Amino acid sequence: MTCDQARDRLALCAGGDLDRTEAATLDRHLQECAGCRRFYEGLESNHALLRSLRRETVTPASLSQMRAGLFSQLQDPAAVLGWRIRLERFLLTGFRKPRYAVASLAIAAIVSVTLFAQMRHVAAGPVAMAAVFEDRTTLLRPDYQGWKVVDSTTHNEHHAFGKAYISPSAHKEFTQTGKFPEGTVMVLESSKSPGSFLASVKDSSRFEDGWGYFEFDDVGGRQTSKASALPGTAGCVACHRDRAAMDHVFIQFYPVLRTAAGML
Amino acid sequence: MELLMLRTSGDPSPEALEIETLVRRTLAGDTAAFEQIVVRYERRVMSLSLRMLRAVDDAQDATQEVFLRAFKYIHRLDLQKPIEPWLMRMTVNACRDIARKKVRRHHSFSEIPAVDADPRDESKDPYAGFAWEQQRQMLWRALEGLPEKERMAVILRDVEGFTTSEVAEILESSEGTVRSQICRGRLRIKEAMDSMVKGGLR
Repeated sequence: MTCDQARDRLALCAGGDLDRTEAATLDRHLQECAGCRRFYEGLESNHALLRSLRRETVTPASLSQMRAGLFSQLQDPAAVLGWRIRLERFLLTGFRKPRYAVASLAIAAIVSVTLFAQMRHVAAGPVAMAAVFEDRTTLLRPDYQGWKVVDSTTHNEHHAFGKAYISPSAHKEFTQTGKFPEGTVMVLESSKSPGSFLASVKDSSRFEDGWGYFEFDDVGGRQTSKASALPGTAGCVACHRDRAAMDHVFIQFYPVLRTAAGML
Repeated sequence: MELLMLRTSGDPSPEALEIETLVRRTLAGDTAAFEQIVVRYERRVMSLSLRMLRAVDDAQDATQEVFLRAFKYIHRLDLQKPIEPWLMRMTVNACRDIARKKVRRHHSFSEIPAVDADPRDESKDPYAGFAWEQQRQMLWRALEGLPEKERMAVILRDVEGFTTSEVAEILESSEGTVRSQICRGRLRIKEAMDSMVKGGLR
């Protein structure tokens, strides 16, 4: 064993990160090499110093100061959570309790028959581009009033979320082919905060997973006019990919779409 | 890892059961239950933050951020696993975010603020007194000279005393990577300390 090889292992050994065989080989080298022995003593004393930093701890005063700030923010849990998290929680618990799924399917079956009958008479909406991008991943606020409503709050025990919409041309194509075309835009309103909604856009040329997700807010009447795609870590991307019943869309909650897909 | 495995398989410990109850109550909207979780882990989170950030106000900010994130994402916590590595992982990430902002503000990490240490009986402490104080200053300077990932690995392993596999879990990395970061970090600290001893601490 050369001294260079030994020093890597000595660094590991100083903190007890070497197994017995490795340590034995190292020991033989140490017995022969005074330089490495000194080197190891230095490492060991540094390790003792590092370990002693553990006793530097926080004062009760600075802890309680931190806690006061934290607890005052927790006074308003809804503000801390935000409605995106509440949506995520709702969807997760929705799946954990199969009873809700059964109930929502029963309602869906009744509602869908009525809605589908109506749907057949609805002419296709204006063929405008539903999604307008300012740059690669910045979406301008879509004007979705008048789009096809695919869901009300029937399945939603918390009533945190309002109606869900699909862009008219996408809806038309979906009823014919059973697939969401490129350019499909879906909108999910917040029922708590009018003017706030989440939008998803199908565009494989822009988004790795095929779909991009956007949050548009309304704070005291001031509406966000454009939104950047939420990062993959936001939770929506993975949840839509893994749990949505069809192509990243929760059609299990959308009677109109379920019926359309089932009819084909 | 062995320790973690023991805790995950077989009967959960009374502590794990208690945490599970507190988490479920938090999810049901009981904020007081979450406050109990905070009281249990605040010291651990803030100590680590202080060691990562070296300034009390930054450590307080980081700790608040960690618990706000924990409150928000507690529904994603896997109750089969212990909560501590999850909190430590969020601590590391919150400290990283704050450190980045700090670099942008000051463009320098060179200041070594006085540490907010608990007053203790120092009469029997071999690390008390001026000589130790000087060594400690050198050590912090050496630590601050490490690349971020090596510094975090060394702080978690050597200062906090987590096992290598726990460190890997906290840093979302592999054991092999952490091992080599620890190895390189210790060697670099040694090099920095040696050169400071030679050149004198300025």
